[in-house]
Order: sequence, then structure tokens, then C-alpha cells
Amino acid sequence: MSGATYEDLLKVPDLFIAELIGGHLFSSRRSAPLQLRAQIRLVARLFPLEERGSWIFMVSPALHLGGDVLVPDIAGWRAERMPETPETDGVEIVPDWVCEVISDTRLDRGVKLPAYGRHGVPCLWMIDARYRFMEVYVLQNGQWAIAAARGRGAGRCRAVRGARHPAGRPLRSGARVTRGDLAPPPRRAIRSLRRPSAR
Amino acid sequence: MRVPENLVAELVDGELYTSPRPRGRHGRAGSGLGALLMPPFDFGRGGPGGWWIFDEPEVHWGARVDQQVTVPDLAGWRRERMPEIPDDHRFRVVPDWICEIDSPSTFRLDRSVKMPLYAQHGVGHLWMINPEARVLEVFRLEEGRWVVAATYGGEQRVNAEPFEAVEIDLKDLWA
Repeated sequence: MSGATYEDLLKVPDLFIAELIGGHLFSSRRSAPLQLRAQIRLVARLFPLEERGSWIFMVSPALHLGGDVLVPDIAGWRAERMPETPETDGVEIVPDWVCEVISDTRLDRGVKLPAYGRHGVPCLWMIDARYRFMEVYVLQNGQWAIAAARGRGAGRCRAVRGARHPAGRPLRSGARVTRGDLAPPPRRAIRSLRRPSAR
Repeated sequence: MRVPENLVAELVDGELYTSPRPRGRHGRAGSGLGALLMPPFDFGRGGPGGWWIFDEPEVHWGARVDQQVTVPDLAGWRRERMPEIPDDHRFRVVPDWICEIDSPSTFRLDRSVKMPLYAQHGVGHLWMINPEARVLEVFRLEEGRWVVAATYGGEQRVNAEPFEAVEIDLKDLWA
């Protein structure tokens, strides 16, 4: 095809991620560089867990759960729950952990978070690369509860420090994630790291 | 500590945080919500009443005064828990409900410092509004943690706890 424009390119379905949640079809653009960088840095940090044989990770897998098709930015399974890599298009085993790098707040927080909860995913990380910020959600009596929030000033949120969850713990102890992993550091943020703290 | 009047100053665990005063969309969401909640829940017109609702109150947390101070965008107290409005500017009773409106400059402070502080002091409900994304997140405190009670968005009409008695049209919040 000649004379194609960016508009034409956007019409190509492959540029979209399609999800089916509660009978509704959601199509989203693929992540932007800021989100992709956070995603790859996080994957790099988690990979030792996979090499050690304790976890299996996948980037943007299609989860076929009940009638839903959900595509998290990263999903992880404890190795014993996925002894063989499925040969199907999607994965039908509920992950032990998922991570969303927010690109659409309404979809990620308003639609996908509740859906993961309904399917019984026990632990979820919500990362906002724009603000270099992450939240750890754990399923508590069938509801999502915030177990920790980390961002600039992470050292100050004493109320949530030490909040742990069986699903969160091995990830965290095996692969410490720092705010530097959440996005490439802009100069302003580096300055803020150096600023002496009051304590 | 002196902070210029064009900034909102807050003090948590010995750290002083300053943020620009709300503007534009942010201000619209805050005053819109105040205007929707005050008649039914504070004045008792078209609703059950029984609440005090305040815009940007200066809330002092903990036993010692002037140590932990935040200025939520909106806060509400059930009147049985705070029968009288304080004489001075210091609100020392823990609110039953707080609403924070996200803006790029306050996002991390709200979510990583103020939310844990509010949980630690037992605020019952917290609303986080993101005017840019047009999202309202409703959190309820359970076992000391913030639990997602509901997440609403766009132009939904909602009965959101703890104000489920009256329907709110979210489109009134967005500029």
C-alpha cells in the first residue's frame, strides 16, 4: 500500500491490545516508551527468580479466565503451578501475581483491577511510571487492599513498611525493586534523590 | 516554619510538604463535590444530614498538636463524633471521610504518605479523585488497610459509600 499515513497505521488491529472483560470489548493502544521502559526494567529485576526456577514470568500474556481475556503487562506464576509451558494461545492458569504499568487509569484501576480480583489473583502491583510510583495490592477477604505504596518519599510511609503478603514476599526478597526501576531517571528526580532528608 | 500563602503546607513525620493551591480541573472537582455533598449531608436538605463537610480543613493528627498536619481537599465528620466545630483552625478529631483530588504535583504525596497516615489514624473512608482520568476511587478501611470498595469513572451516577444515601452524578465534577 502506498501513500499510507499514520492514520492508516493506527487502523491496523495489531497495534491494539484487545481485552474482553465482563462481556465488554476493550481495545487499547500499545504502551508508550515511558511505560515500556518501566516494564523492561522490572522484568530484568524479576528474571533471577525465573532462572532460579521458582517463578515463571510472561510479558503481556493473554489470560483466558472464565469468559474474560485479560492482558496484564507482566504476569507471574509460581513454578509449581505451571510445570509445563502451555501450548495454547492464551494461559488459563490464574497468575500468582500480575503487574500493570498504568497507561489508562480508568481501564487499569477501574476495570482490570476488579477483574483480577474476581479471578482470584492474590497479588498485584500497580506502577505509575509518570510519577515513579508503585502500589502493592493484595487480595484480602476477596477485596483488593493496599499493602504498600512506594514512591519518592518511600522511606517516610512508615505505616505501610513491612506490610507483607505470602505472594508478595518472595518477589520482593528475591528481587528488590527500587524506584529507579520504575522509569528512566529524569534529571529532576536524581536531584531529589540527593536531597538530604530530615531524618 | 514559614510557608508562603500561595502554597498548601503539610507536615507528616517531621517532613514539611508544600504543594501549589488547587487550580483548574482540580478545583472544579473539589468545589463540585462539596456543592453536591453539603446540602444533603451537612445541611440536611434532600438527604439525611448528620455530617460536617469542610473544604481544605487543617487536620491535626495524633495526640500532640502541630506535629502531623494535613490539609485534605475535603473532609467530613459524623456529628456524633464531632458535635462542635473547633473554635480555632485546628481540626483535631479524626475525620470519618476524606477526599483527596489527584494532581501531578500531589500524586505521590497523596498516595504514599497521606493515605498510610489516614489509615494509621482510622479514617473510615477515603475518596481519591483523578480529574484528568475522570476516575473516583472509593476506599474503605478494613483491618487497618485501604480496601478498594468501588472504582467509578466518566459520567456514571453513583451511590458511593459512606454517602450512598444520595446519588451523585459524576459528570458534575469534571470541567
